[in-house]
Amino acid sequence: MHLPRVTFSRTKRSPRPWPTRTAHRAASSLAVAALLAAAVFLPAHAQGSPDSPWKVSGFGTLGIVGQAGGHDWGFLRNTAQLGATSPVSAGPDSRLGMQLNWTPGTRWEAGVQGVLLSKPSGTPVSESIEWAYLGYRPLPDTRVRIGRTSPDIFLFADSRNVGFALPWARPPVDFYGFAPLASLDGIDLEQRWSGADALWRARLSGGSVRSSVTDLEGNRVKMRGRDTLALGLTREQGGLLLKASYLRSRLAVDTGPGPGQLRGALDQLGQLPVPGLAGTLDTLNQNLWTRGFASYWALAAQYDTGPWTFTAEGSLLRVPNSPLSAKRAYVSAGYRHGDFTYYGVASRVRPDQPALSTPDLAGTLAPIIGPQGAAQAQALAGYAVTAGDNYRFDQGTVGVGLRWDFRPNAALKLQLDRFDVRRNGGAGWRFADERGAHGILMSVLVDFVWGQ
Amino acid sequence: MMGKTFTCRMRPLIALSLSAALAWTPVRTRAADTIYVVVSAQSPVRSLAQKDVLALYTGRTRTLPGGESATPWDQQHDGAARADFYQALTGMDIARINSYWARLHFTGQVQPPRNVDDDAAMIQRLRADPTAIGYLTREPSDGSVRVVLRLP
Repeated sequence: MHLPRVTFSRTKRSPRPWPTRTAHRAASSLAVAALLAAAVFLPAHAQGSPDSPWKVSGFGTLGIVGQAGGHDWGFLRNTAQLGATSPVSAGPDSRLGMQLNWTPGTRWEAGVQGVLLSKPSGTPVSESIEWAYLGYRPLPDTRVRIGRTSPDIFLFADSRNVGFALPWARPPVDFYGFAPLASLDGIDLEQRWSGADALWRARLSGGSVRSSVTDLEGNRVKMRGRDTLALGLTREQGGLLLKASYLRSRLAVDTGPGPGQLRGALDQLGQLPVPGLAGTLDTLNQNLWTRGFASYWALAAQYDTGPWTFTAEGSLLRVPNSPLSAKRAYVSAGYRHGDFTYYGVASRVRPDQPALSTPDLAGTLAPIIGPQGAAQAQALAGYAVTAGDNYRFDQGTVGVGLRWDFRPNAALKLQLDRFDVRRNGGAGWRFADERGAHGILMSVLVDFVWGQ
Repeated sequence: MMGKTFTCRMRPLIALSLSAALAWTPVRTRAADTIYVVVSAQSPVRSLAQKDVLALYTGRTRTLPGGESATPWDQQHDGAARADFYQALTGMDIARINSYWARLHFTGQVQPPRNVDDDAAMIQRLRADPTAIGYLTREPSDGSVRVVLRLP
């Protein structure tokens, strides 16, 4: 039996040295430069006067993260970014954002924001635009927007790049490290109201998503979310904020022709008259997930009382028959004393499906298709098992940190994290392999904002 | 090998961390001078509860309890009047307020109130816009604006 030759790029490799190649920033540089140019060429009076409809503002972070342990894997703050390129790296956390707002009155508004950060080579300029919309308020507490916006489904994903707005060095990676649907092209409708001493906000968003995630070797993988619908409901009373959210989307990742070829080969093998073989190969086929319907549910709570702030968020991502399905959660507590905030955070992500083990096809099939064909079949099975593991996030992190607001618009943060990655669960790391890993991350960052 | 390299590279970070942790600045406190929350004399609003003003100045609503539209105005962004106002209204210092507004502003949710220079500019603004709401550091003496809340 002849089995087709399969090329599949998302395979785990043995650990390798740190790459010398640096992040490709041209695309995002261009977007931010365009915003900067717009700011420069705005009429001088346009930005200073309180009556001006224009406002230019920005934010940024200078950060260094050091990693001890975790083999030679590279730390990823978010799978949409390139990640660390050395054990001590400024890549994951450093970024610069610019924003232009236009608010000519109480009804119309528009805004665009570009962010410069390290992304994989080939990422288009459009993905450096976090949001760009035109909004209209038919009533003071009702707003409709068209363009690119953030679905209201996370407590912090929409502000994940604005470090100054975050209590921590970065949003918990176990929870926010995989959030490819943070920007939505379409329309959203927001309504605010009050009742029973509580303030409510509901936002419904619909549209599509085009984004990229970084594969294990730092290459860009295109991700698409069609027919996306998101709903967020928030209730605030006193210092307590409660949030419930839901999103559904038809997800698809483009990893090249490899998965399709591999599926075809496994289908061919499944026709062999071997008891139990078809079921085994069907399981492997499901592990080669590239598209499917996804749903996301989340609950969040934040409680501010005096100097204390408590935050908790939990989510369920369901992608049927996919290794992406997972539960995520984190809890955090912070205590503020003057200009200093001391905090602790613990997070965990656990996949729903157990990792597959490679079946012994070489031994089973050798009498039927010969030793060479059986060896090829064994290799295919190995690829299929590994491909699924590449989507498995299975890790926990515990961290403590300090935030010092040394200026009204700037903060220094120090954070120490201990991470524990389970076997076959390193999807959140560059160059990860099937091993488990644990180690320490130490982060020093300065966050700042201006012009807000 | 990597552990040794790591230790060498991390030494400056650890030193910086310890220095920052040991550094201490006294907690800043300010005298609790009264802040006057004001609207235009043409506004139908006679008084406001602190929670209503809080909802307006934290971007949670754009209307008053009676359903009237309201446009909040701030004093100078880095000035003492704004810091005192938010401290009295929310109990939060200005860095925390700026962090809060950064989250709303840079996520496109709500734009923070626009700024005027001082009490006189605020009164001018309220005279021109009956839906405007602002605050003053001194009790207004002219009849063009109305005090609707005193803080604290």
